[in-house]
This record gives sequence, C-alpha cells and structure tokens, in this order.
Amino acid sequence: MQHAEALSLIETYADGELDAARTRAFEAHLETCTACQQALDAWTAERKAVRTALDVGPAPQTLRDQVRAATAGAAMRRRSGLPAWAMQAAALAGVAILSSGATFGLMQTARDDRTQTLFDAHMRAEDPGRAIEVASTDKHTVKPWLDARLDFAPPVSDFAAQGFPLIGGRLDYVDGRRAAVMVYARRKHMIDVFVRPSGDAAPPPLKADRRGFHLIGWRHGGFDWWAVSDVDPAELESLHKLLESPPAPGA
Amino acid sequence: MPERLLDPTEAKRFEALVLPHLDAAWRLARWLTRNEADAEDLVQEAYVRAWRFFSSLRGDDAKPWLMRIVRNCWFSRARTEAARGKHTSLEEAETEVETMLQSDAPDGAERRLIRLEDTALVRRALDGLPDEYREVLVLREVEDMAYRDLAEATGVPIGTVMSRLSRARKLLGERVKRLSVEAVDAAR
Repeated sequence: MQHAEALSLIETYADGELDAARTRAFEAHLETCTACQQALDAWTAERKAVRTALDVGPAPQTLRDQVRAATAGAAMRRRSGLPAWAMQAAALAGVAILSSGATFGLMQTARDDRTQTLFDAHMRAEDPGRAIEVASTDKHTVKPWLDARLDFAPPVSDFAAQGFPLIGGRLDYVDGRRAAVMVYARRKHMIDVFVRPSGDAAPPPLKADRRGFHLIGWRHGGFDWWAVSDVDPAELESLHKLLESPPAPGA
Repeated sequence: MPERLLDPTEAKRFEALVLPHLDAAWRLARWLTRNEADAEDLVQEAYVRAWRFFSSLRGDDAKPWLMRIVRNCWFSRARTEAARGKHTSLEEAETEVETMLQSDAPDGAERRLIRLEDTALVRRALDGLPDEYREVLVLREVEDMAYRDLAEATGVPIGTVMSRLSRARKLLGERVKRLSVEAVDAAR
C-alpha cells in the first residue's frame, strides 16, 4: 500500500471499519512507516479527547425511575381499555410529579455523597445487559477494552485461583467522571471494583453499608479503589488485600 | 389505527432489549437538545414511542432502532420550534468544510489536534454544529456505533454516514481551534 493511500485510510481503520484485505495491507505499511504510526497515534488521541469531552455520563436516576416505572406500569394496565401508549404517557407524567416530591428529601442528604453514587452504580448494574460491557475471564481482553475508553490505564488482575474470578468489565461514573469497573464473581455474587486515578478530593479509606450491600474504599498505587457487593464485608477485605498485593503468578 | 398491546412476554422483551440503552438515549438527547431538562423530556417521549412501536423492532439489537426514535422525536420537535435557525445549518456546515479542505495544507499538517484539556471548548464547538453532525459525532465517538448502525439510526446510506462523520470531525476540530484562538485573544 502506498503512503498516501494509507494516510487516507487512517480514519476508517481507527473506526474498525476497514475490510480484512485492506486492514492487512494497511497494517503492513504501518509497520514500516513512522509518519503513519504517528498520524494514527495522534488521531487516536484526538478521538479519546472528543469522547471524554462529549460523554455526559449516565441518565439521571430520576429519569431512569420514570422510564422504568412507566414501562412496568403500562404492562399491568393493559386491560384498562385505554391504548397502552396513552397509559404510558399518563404514567410518565404521573410518576414524574410523584418521584420529584418523594425523592426530594433523599436527594438532599445524598447530594455530593459519593458513597450513595457507588451503591447506586452497583445496583443500576443489575439492569439487564448493563453489568458487564466486556465479558471475559481474560485480563488481556478486559484491559485493552478499558484502556481504549479511558484517559488512564487501570490495573486489571484476575484472582480465579483465590476464588475471585474476573468475569468482565464496564465503564461507570464516580463524581461524574469515568471510572473503570472490574467485575469479579464470588460464588453466586457479583463484586464491582471501581478504579480511578487519585484526585485531590478527600481520599478513601471508607466503609459503608446500605440495605445489605457493603462498600469499602482505599487508595493505592496512584488510584482510588472502591469495592461494592452484597457479599460478606470480610470477603471484600480479602479481595482488597489481593488487589493491593497480587500474588506472584503460579503462587 | 388499532393499538397493538404488548403481552407480558413482549413487555419483558422490551425491558431486556430497550431499557439497557437508556444511558445512550440520554447522551444523544443531551447533545441534540443542548440542555438537560429538554433531554429528559425527549427521552421520555422517545420511550413512549418505542413502547408503542415495539413491534417494528427487527432482531435483538435495539440500540440503532431506539436512537432513530430519539432523533426522529427531536427532528419533529425542532422543526416546529424553529430552534434550528439559531445554529449552523447542514448546508452552511458543508460549505464551511469545503472551504477548509481547499485551503488545508497537504496531509492536514497545519491542523491543530483536539487535546484532552480542550473539554469545555469541544462542548461549545459541538453545540454550534448542525443536528446532522452532532448526532453522528455523539453516536460514533461516545457510543462506539458501527457505520452500519449509524446508517440505520440516522436513516441515510452508509456512504453518507462516512462523509458526514468525516466532515463533522473536521469541522469540530476547526471550530475548537477557532474557539481556542478567540480565548487567547480575549485574555490579552
């Protein structure tokens, strides 16, 4: 492949939309061409900057509740005689008013409460299809997936031998900023481990409990960590220890 | 037109296939409407329509289908509100990109790249772009959607998606550059 052609294909290649034959030709050229490598790196960095700027985070909890309640409500009211969509619209309007009143007190106390955010994120992850965005027990799959979507490179480890197999990862938000989430299994339970570079904000450690869920937080290796789950707090501690000092391979 | 009601199995399917894309619908709506209050309204309206027309979903991937409903709701709203007049139209944007391309140095060597610290500028620049550019940018850059899915979501052929996305990226970069020059001048 000629240099000019390769340059013109960087956008399509980086979007993962080049066909197999041209991908091979492009990559062969890339190996020998520093200019194209630099152009590709610059392009990738620019895409990441745009992604970071445009990402406004998850839908607000109030909207989530309204949409959820409306769809659940409409399913039950099917026999009422009104068209489903009309009930739907009524439910949306009604719930909007109800929830803004009922949750107001809660919102006040939960404002700026990172602990609540983390519990919410963990519970929200129980929505179908949300818990894991990259499903893999292989850290060599999970890590590149996360790296490509974040402006930091989170440490990713698997502790299958210690009874905490890595089952996947996803992106989530802490204080409105993107965080990596590694999802571990513990028997039938799921543990979310949130990781984000340490900021200036008040650091962990912290421990908290909400309605059968437990949270621990710590700061280690330039990152802030939070583990959330409904497993026993002692088991969260074991995972915390493993994450702070991973056993040598084969140990 | 007789309404087709969802049986409980269909309701479960709706919950499993459509609800998980709420965050994506929100992010698209936020950039289409340019503010959070209107975005919430738009998402609610879109979910009501999605529920009503659930039978039109083919296959199990509801994301492009739902995104199309969100943007169609927005386009029908924006037309009536004439809200689009305040911002660059698609025609004006295309002309601007053409002019840029003609004066551009070979290989885009003169182009300043968007950097991570430009967040506020990128957001302002995006707000100034036409609907057709904002939607492809958000769906590609934030939602990672494939060209094929972008074509389905925006209702144009895949070739149009590719050229539109490419132009949208160029114009966004140019507008960010312009805003940062203005910011430097203003600070003087």
